[in-house]
Amino acid sequence: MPPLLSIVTPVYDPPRYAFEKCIETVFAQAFKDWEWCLVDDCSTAPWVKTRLNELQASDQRVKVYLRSENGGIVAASNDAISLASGDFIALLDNDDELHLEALEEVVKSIEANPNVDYLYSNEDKITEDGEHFDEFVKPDWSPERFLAQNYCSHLSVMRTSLVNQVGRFRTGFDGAQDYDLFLRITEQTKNIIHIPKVLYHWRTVPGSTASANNAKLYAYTAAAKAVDEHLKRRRILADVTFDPTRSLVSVKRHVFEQPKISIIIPTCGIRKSIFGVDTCLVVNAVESIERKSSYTNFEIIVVVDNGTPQQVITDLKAVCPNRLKVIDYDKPFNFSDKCNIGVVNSDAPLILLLNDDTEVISPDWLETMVGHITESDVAMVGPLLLYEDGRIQSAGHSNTHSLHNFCAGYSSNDFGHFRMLKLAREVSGLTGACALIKRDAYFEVGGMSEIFPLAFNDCDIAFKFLENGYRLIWTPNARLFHFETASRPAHVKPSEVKLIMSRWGRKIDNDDYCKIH
Amino acid sequence: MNDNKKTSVELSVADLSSELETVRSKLQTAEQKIMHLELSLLQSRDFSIGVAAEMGEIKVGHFKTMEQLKAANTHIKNHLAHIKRLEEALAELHRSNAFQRGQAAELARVYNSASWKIGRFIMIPVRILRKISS
Repeated sequence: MPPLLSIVTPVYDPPRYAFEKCIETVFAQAFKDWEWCLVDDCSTAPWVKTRLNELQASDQRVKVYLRSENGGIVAASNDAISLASGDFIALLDNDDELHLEALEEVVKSIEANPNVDYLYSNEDKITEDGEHFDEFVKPDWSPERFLAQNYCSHLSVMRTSLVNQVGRFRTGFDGAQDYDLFLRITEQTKNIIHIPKVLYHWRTVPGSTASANNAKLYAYTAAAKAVDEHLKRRRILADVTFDPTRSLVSVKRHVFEQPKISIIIPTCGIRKSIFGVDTCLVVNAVESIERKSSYTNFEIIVVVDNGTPQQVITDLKAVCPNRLKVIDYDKPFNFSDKCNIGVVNSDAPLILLLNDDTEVISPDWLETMVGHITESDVAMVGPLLLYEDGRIQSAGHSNTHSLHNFCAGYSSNDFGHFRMLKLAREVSGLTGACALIKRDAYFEVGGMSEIFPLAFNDCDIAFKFLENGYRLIWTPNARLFHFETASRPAHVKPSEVKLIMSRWGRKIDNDDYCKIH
Repeated sequence: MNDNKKTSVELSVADLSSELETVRSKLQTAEQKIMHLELSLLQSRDFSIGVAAEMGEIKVGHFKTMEQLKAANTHIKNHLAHIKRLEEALAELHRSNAFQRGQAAELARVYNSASWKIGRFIMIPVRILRKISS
C-alpha cells in the first residue's frame, strides 16, 4: 500500500500563469495517490479564490481553506498542514513546478526505506518563459553544510507525524520558516534521504528568493536566527551571523578550553624557492606556526629522516625553542610510518598531520578546526590549502570519477557549485598535507597505513573513518599555503592505484558529498 | 660524628641518584616498549581493517559478478530460444525445399512426357496465329 502524500501549498497572490503551471504539474503527476492542501492567505486578486474553489469542485483530492485575514506564510502553511491527512507532507510553493515524476520518485524512495522521515531532492530554477537553469546537484545528508545554507530546500517531503511533533512552522522565521522546520526535524531523526534527481523547478519571478540572493534579506536574518537556535538546542556555543558577501550563514564555534595538539611534521629538511627566496621548508612551516597561530596549546613533533642537515635541527630549535620534539627516522621513506611514529611519540588528544611544505595563513586556523572536531562524530578536519600563487590546491577530496583534490587550480575567490568553496561541509576525504585528527579515532582505525608509503594514505585513512561512522569536515575558514610540487612530484604509480582500488574501489566515483566533478 | 653523618647522607644521596638513573632508564625502556606496542597496535588494526575492506571489495566484486552471471544466463537463455526458433525455421525451410524439389521433379517429368511433347506439337499453329495477331 503506497503512502498518501499531502502536498501543502500556501497561496498568496501568485502570478496567474505561474499558478496555472503549478496546477498543471500537480495534476499531471505520474503518481496519483495524493491530496493537495491549499490555503489562500486572503489574496487581494479576486481570481485566486474563484480558481481555488473551481479546483476543489473539480477534484475531490483538492482541499481548500480560505483565510479570512492575511496571516503570513507561517500561518497559512500551518493551516494547510491542518488539512493534511497524508503520511507525508510535500511542500510546494504556489508559483513553482513539480517534475512530472516527482511524487512517484518520492514514493519509490519511501517504499525502499520505510523508516525514512525526511526526503529531499535536487532542484533547478525555471524562468518565466519556462527555461530551466541552475541545477543544484546536492550532497547526501550533510549536517555541517546545512548550518551554512538550506541546501535541502526543494523538494522537501517530511513525515507528517514528525512535523506535528516538532510543532510545525514557527512565527518569527518568515522567509526561512522552512529552514527552521527542517533544522528541528533533523534534530529528531537521522533517517534522511537524498533523491539525486531534479524533482522541483523553482520559478524565478521578480522578488522571489530564487531570482536574486538579495531579494529577501530578511529571509537571511531569519535563517541565521534559525541556525542560532538550532545550535543552542544542541548545546553548541557559536557566533552565528549572516555573511552577505557569501550569502551564507556563518557559524564560528567557541573554543573555550584549548585541548593540546601535537603537530606532526615528517621531513627530510629540503630547501626550495618559496616566493622567490631559497627556503628550508620545514623551518619555514614551523616558523609560520609559531609566529601566526593564535592557539597556544600545541607541541611540534618533527620526524626527521637520516641525513637531514644538522643546521636544519639547529634552525628549528631556534624558531621553536620551547615545544619542539625531534624524532629521528632511520628507515626507508614511508610517510605513513613517519606519521605513526610521530603519533606514538605524542600524548595529546588531537593530532595535526602537517607537510613540511606548508605555511600558515589564517591565525585562527587551529581554533577553527578544533571547533569542528569537538563534535563527537567528527574524526578529521582539514583546511583550505592554496598554491604559492594563491590558487586552490585542495578544498577537500572528491571521489567523483577518480580520487582528486577538489577544485585544485581554481581561484580562491571562486564560490564553487552553490557556494561549496565558501562553506564548511562534510567531505569523503581530506589531504594528509594538513589534517587535524582525534587521537582516539586515529588509533581506532589503525592510523596511517604503511602499505601506502607515498600516495593515497590520506584517502585510505579517510575511508577508514567513514567506514567507522565518522564525519570528516573541510573548512574554508582555516587557510594555509601548500607548496605541493615543491616537495615531491605529483604523480602516482599504477601499483598504488591498484592497491587503493583493492581496498576501496567501491567508494571511487561514489562520493556522498561531492557529486560534481 | 658529624663527618660520619655527612658521609652516610652523601652515600644515600649517591645511592638514590643511581637508583633514580636506573628507574629513569627503566622508564625510558618502558616508554620505548609502549611506543613499539602502540605502533604494532596501529599496524594490526590497519591490517584487520584493510582485510575487512578488501573483503568488502571482494563481496562487491562477487555481487557484480553474480549480476553479470545472471545477465549472461538470461542472455544465453534468450540466445538458446533464438537458436531453437532458427532451427525450427531451418527445418521448415528444409521441408519446404524438399516439397519444392518434389514439385520440380514432377514438373520435369511432365515436360519430358510424350503426351506433353505431342500436345506442344499440336498447338504450334495456334501459337503462330497468336504471335501474328499480337
